[in-house]
Amino acid sequence: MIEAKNLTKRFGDVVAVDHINATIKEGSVFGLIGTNGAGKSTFLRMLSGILKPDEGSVTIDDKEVFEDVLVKSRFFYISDDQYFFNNATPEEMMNFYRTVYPKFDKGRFSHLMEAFELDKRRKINTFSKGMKKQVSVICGVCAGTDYLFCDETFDGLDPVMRQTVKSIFVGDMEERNLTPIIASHNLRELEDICDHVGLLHKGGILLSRELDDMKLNIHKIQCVLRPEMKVEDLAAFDKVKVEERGSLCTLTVRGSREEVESIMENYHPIFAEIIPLSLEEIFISETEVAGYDIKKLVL
Amino acid sequence: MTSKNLCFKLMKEDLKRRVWTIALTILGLVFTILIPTAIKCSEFMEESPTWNVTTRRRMINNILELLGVNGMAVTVLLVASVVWAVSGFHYLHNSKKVDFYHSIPVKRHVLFLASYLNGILVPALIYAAVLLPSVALALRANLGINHIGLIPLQHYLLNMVYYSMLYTTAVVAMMMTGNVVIALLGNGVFWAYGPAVTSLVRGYYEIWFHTFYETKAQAEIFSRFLRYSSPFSDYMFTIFEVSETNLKWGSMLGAAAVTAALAILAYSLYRIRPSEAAGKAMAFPKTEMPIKILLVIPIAVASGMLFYGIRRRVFWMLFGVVFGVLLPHCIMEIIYHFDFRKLFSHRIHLGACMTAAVFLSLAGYYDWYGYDAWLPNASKVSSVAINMGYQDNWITYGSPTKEWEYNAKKGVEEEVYYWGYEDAADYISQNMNITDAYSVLQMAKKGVWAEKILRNKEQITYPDWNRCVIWYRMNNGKTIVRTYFIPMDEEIIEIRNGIHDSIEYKRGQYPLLKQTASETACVNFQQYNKIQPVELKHDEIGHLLNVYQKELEELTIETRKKELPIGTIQFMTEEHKNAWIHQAQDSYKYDNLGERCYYPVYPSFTRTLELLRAAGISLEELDENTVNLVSVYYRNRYDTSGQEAVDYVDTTIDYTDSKDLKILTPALCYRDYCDMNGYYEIDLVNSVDVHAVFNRDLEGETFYEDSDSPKQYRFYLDRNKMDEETVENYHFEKDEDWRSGWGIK
Repeated sequence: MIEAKNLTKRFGDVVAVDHINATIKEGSVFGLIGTNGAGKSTFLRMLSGILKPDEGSVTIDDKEVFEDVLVKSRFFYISDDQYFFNNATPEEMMNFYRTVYPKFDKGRFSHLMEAFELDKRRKINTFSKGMKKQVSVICGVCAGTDYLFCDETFDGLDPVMRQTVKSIFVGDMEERNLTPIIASHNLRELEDICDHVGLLHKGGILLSRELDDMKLNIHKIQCVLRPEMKVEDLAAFDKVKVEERGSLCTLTVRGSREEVESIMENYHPIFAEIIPLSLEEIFISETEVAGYDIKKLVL
Repeated sequence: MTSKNLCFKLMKEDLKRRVWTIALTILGLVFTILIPTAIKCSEFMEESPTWNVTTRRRMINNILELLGVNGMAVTVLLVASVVWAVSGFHYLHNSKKVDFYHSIPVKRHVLFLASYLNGILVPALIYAAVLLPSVALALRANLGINHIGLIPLQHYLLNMVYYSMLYTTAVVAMMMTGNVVIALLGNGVFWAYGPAVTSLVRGYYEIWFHTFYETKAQAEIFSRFLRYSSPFSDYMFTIFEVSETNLKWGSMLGAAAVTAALAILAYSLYRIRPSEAAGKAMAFPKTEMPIKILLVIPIAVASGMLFYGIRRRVFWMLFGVVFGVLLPHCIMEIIYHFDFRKLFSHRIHLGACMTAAVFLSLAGYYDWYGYDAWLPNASKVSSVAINMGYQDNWITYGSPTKEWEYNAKKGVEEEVYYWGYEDAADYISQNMNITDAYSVLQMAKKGVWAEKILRNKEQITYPDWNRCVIWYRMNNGKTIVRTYFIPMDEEIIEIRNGIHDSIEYKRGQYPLLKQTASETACVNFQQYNKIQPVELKHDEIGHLLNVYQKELEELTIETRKKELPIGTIQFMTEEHKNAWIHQAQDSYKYDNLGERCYYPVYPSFTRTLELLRAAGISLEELDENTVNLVSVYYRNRYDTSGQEAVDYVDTTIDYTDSKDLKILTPALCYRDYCDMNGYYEIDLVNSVDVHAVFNRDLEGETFYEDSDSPKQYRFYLDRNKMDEETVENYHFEKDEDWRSGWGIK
């Protein structure tokens, strides 16, 4: 388990990460969401032991990360612009990683390179941005670490590759309890993979919740009300958002599924149906509670 | 995996990424050692049978130089030290690379060691790999192991120790900065700052402290600072000092110790260096301000001195200071921020630098330190020594020095002697003890007074000035030295005469007065280049020495004003005599030791002259019987500016007639003797060059080599010893008379 306590990092007068407390459990996918400059990369760089926190601590299983080789051998960090040696080929990078990551799976590396249709003897500097991302993900996955820190890793991958990478993550989570920690500024990117989401803004965490928990307490209903009724008459609902298109109303409301269904039945609508909420919509509601306008933060 | 194994693996991986650095180093050393050695050895093998011993010896030395401290290879190593440091640690200056290296599970000390050790071991291996075949080539060329010996190995060690020091210095520069260009500038500062500031301090003393006199000890301190304040200058000094037989083991050990200390510093900096420093100018923001101040203030003071040197006005000095503060301060702020608009940031620092630089410059200009105004309290002075200028610069100080030198003719190393000259000031400072400091202080007081007036740019007119150096030996054991430019008014001249005439002064001025009879081996008397050995028994030599010493001690300025020496005498010590016999003959250092240590014999040294006559020495008179010819060269006459000739003469007239000789010879003053007595009052005829030929030199034995002319001796003409008619008849007018009268066309 990764635990950040009171984690703070300043760059001169700028507080990049401001007293963050977060817990990341093993075997889940942690999504770190925030705008550019929110502190996601700084947070990940502190998790990786690159930056030394000015205040607070970051531990993996109660051991400080900074300058602890054993702890650092448990994760692989993929930066938003991963460095490869000049003129190096994927195979050469693999050879280097093998010297520092003893569990590096050479066979799997070759297999994945073939599966991704990447030539492991071609110079990486001739690869496209997306191909470089694929190489870095393959290296990360094959390093055999418990944690994989991904900074904007899906940025630059096409949708097919994105799904492929996600499926690799899922497979590794099932097989060897891999814990990916994925930082992104794009909510939609993480929607279908994250179990737990942390929203960073101006160096602080606005919220950090299990996605399922958040989904339990907010629902979206599409309905057609009786002609004599108006949306304003649905006073029993704790409405978050209301949209009307002709006679079709779409409501985002708080409350458990049972409560919402029960209230709606009492109004005897012509038609009513609970439809799935996007992660974005969940965030809107959650952050509005905290007094933030999420649209300005991440959309 | 153990750290040791991992370190080796990382070193191997590191080398894969530094192939171009390796290639450059190999190329550099091959082109500066192996190829030149191969060319020279080939030449040696093919052509040495036709060479003489000297050429052969020179060629061997050339090859040994290539295998030893080879200037070209040293240049390659200097460049390599920086290139290896930059290529090893430039990842620290790139955020992407730092993230990569610092996220992998490797301790930072292992990362540091892998790069750092590669930067020393690989060049060392390449150097050895290039040197070995070069030595093999030299051996194959039959240079002989006795010639080569351990030179390549010793000089290899020397070069590698200094390479390591320079490399580690560059690594420290890389650690302290976050950008390669700034690191290179930083390395330049490490190389040049110490010597530059040392030179600045020396210049500050010389420009502002007008009474400052650099003693040997102070010069030594400056020299040491110049050398040891920079790894680069230490390397250069060591290389220039080193020779085949003279390897500076002490310097090498010192450099190795400094390298170790620098390596610890570099590692410590690596450990505390924040990863986020990549891309910034300085890795440690706290170092920005002190570095800026340490650079800006000396530059500003130097700039003030430079502008003052050009215009000699306080305004221009202050302009230089302001310019010297603003420019580097702004440049450094731009560099620190990587933003031109930030050039006037940190105005408080700017103000502080400006204040300090202006204060230091004005303090020098107005002597706020009171350095030049300082005069000791007479009661606190135990004794003084004074060097009163250059009236007696003929005195030989020092002693014979033995050296081993290769004799090309004999083909062996042999013991040879040179004269080891000692500076007059050093001798005087150590041997003169004038206990009555009052007179000397009076002269110093006059110098301080004049200095104050001159410092205020006021005019002060005196016909004669004298530069004096005074050593004040204080009661507390300290010696303070000052030099003064003293206007010689009547009172000061009288004081000067008193000092000159004192025995304490002369005993500190003339080394002969300390010589004893037992030290003296033989005596020679010389007159107009004619040397006569004085044949005396040992006790008679002692007696003659005592008599001469007594008369020299009694010599007064009044006598010197009126008399010129009539000959010179040499009391040669055993050591001097032995050195003379074994003096170096075929060396560029050749210096006839037989001509050293001659002292003047004045006409008033009657007892000495009497003893010399008694010993059979014939004293030569200058008259028409001894002189065969007086040759007078009349020079062109120039206007008062000295630029334009008003009369073109350029004529030589040889006077051989006995009548002319009778008139001219009494006015002849032998130049060498005039040079031995700067106090002699002579009315010099400036417009002519005079030579004379002695009858004794007409026999041909003393003719110049490759010439059929007899020796000519240079003389001055003293107008005081001629009547008006002679002056007119022989056209010895003064320059101003010449322009108004007639002249030889």
